[in-house]
Amino acid sequence: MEKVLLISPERCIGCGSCEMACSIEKEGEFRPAVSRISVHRFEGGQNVPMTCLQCEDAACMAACKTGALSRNEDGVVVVDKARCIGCRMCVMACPFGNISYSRVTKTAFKCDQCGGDPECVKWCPTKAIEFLPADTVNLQRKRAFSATMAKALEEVKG
Amino acid sequence: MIRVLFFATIRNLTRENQATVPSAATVRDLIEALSERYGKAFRDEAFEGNEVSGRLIVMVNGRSIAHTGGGSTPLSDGDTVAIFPLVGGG
Amino acid sequence: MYGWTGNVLRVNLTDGTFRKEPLRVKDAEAFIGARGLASKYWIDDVKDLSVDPLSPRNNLLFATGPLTGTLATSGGRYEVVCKAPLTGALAASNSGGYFGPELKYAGYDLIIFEGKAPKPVYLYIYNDSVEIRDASALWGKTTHETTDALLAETDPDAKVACIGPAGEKGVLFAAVINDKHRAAGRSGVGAVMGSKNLKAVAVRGTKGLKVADPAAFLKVVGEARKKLAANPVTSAGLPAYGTNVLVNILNQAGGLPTRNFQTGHFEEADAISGETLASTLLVTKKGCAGCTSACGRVSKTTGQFAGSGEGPEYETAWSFGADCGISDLSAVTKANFLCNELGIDTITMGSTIACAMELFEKGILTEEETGMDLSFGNAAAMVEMVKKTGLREGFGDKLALGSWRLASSYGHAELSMTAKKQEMPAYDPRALQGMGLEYATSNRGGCHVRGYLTSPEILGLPQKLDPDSIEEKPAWLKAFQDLTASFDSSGICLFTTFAIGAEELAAQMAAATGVPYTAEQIMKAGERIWNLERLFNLAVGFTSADDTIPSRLMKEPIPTGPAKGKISRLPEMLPRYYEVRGWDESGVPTDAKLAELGLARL
Repeated sequence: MEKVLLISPERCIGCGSCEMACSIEKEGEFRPAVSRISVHRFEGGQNVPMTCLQCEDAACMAACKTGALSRNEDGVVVVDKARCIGCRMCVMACPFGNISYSRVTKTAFKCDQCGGDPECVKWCPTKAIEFLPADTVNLQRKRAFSATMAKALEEVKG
Repeated sequence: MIRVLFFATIRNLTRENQATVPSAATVRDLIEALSERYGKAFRDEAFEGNEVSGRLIVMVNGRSIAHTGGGSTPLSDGDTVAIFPLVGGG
Repeated sequence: MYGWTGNVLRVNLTDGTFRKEPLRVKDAEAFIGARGLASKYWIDDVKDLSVDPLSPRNNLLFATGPLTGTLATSGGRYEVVCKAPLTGALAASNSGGYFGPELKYAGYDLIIFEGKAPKPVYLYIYNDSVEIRDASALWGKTTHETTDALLAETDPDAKVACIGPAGEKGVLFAAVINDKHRAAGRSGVGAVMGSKNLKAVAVRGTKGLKVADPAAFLKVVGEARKKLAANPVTSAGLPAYGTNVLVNILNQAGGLPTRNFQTGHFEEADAISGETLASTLLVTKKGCAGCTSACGRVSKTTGQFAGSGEGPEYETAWSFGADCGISDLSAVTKANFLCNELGIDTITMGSTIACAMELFEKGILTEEETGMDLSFGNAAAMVEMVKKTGLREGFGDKLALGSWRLASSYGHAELSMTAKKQEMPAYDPRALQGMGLEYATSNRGGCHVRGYLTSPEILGLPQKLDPDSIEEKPAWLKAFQDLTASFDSSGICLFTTFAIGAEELAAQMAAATGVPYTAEQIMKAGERIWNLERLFNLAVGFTSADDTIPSRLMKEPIPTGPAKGKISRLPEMLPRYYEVRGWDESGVPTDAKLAELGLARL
């Protein structure tokens, strides 16, 4: 079953648990600076988690000249470190800033959905990040809004 | 006449901040009467089996029923009962 | 090292130099971190406990805990520690937000500031790079202006802790504000920072924190989080209503101090409650680093008291609301915003205004002196007084000294609602016996949070205690005070204690640091920290005579409301408290107790 990451910023409380969960899983330490997901907090109280959304028409893949970026059978764009020459064209190409470069490994790094069991999803306290079946990923939003409609209809009926 | 005050999420269940009940012998009787009035959602929150739920803070004239006999706490005409969900702060 | 970074940054502001030194590991293990460890460092480094709090010799520490910046339950806290200008006791003010974790990611457990800079400066830390920079252009600016300017000047992802005009001008209850809306509030730590010509600390940290056993750590954190998610306070009450949900509960119990503690019931309490906040001024909720509860309130006011920011918390809604007889939530919230921007403790500010209001209504203070009608209920006057205090203008200059010095200067110290000169927060001791004992015995003066018996007395957590009973309160208070000291020192948020306790803290500490802490050792460490603070107080001249609360609360029964007729029975509880603490009848720790805790007299 193909699953996708769904991010709902309106639920994000800005706690940064996702950054810590990602970094401890991928780097063995709590280090938000190299987390593949990052939270952006705004003055008005909005918080937005940002991570790779595995674009269909991935700009990073198009920019890579060595074939180091490819899509696996789960639809996830992954980095082959052996082929990566550290040119950082992918970092330039991604319009969202969701692929980064590590000065330690000297290769690009990005979200790989932890092989199908994303850590950030497990640790988010408010379901601001979810991992849902691709064909029904926005069904819950439709359902949530339809409940408001149902309530309005009930009131009109009296 | 017994005055009942609702707070925090309890207000979501009753859709009003306060109400009056003509009479009730005990707190349990009062909660039963309120459950009849406000429906299942209120009843589910207010009762744990046959007992007044431990997840409520109920005060009669400022005294928590935890120290006056729980649901068996007697009520008299003119009493004020305040109902809170379990909440907290600092 | 694990949990702790093992590094301390010591800055000499007089010389403009700094050095990095290794963490004192034995002390870290015994006093945990943050509150406990920084207190130990202060005492060992300064040595002469009689120093004037506003003198260069009063060291100022920013101190994280071993769990700060990890995925520990609500692991976002840090403490600001120094000798307190307001009280002369040790100040250790706790704050959340994101500053503490950033300091850990930069690689430091503590920053110690010594001396005084010749001109205004700020400290900029970017991992190993440390600079003392000129802050003359920032002096006089609010905390918001300062934070914005520093983010532009240093790094957009830096975290800033700073003072506003209040700290610069030595308001005795000035606060250190981090991340614009979070406060290390009490006891005047902001004034100490100002006395050193230190405007701000800006930190950017991109390193990582290691824990001793990551798999075990994540497991115990996961289990603890399940408890937080199952608890109605941490999972429903706090996120929905914030701490302000307490206004109505305390009022219904008759213990909401009103009009400077003249009574315990405020007719218009609902107007300043969390319920009202949620349906009017609340924009959204917000959480500190690593927190699953998100009790923070992002709010906005319009009209006469227009503004935006975060808050108000319960103690603030009380101090500017019920305590001043004010029911206008916009005014209360505006006062809160101003305190954040000017850098002022909201509890002492509101309580000091309330004291002034009582002096005014009794004719002891005149309109000629105050410049306005300072009657209870005058919302506009209250807001104006906050501004004037932050800038030390007009009558605000007198308010800036706190209610004890204000009331004493008019010969009416009994109208200052303080313990050890620090204003008591939002729980009337006549309606909650345990809170009276906490106010009287808390090492930093009138403080609610370090021995929060409101939890069992009103909320029924972890157990339902009768607020009127006195027999069991001394033992319960010791347990709460000791546990709180450990939580405050570990870097995780005290609010987690609605759902977890020493067991879960020990498990997280052990897995993070590799030191095999047990629940018993956590409680013992807390007791050690409490006794260290007590030894400090005794050494600087506090005695058992100072373990008291205003006579109003012991002599004047509450006149109205559900707790009508009650008084505080503190004198009956105090001797038993000394006993359970293992202290003599004068409240001095015995030799046996000190030996048990590994402490030496100061």
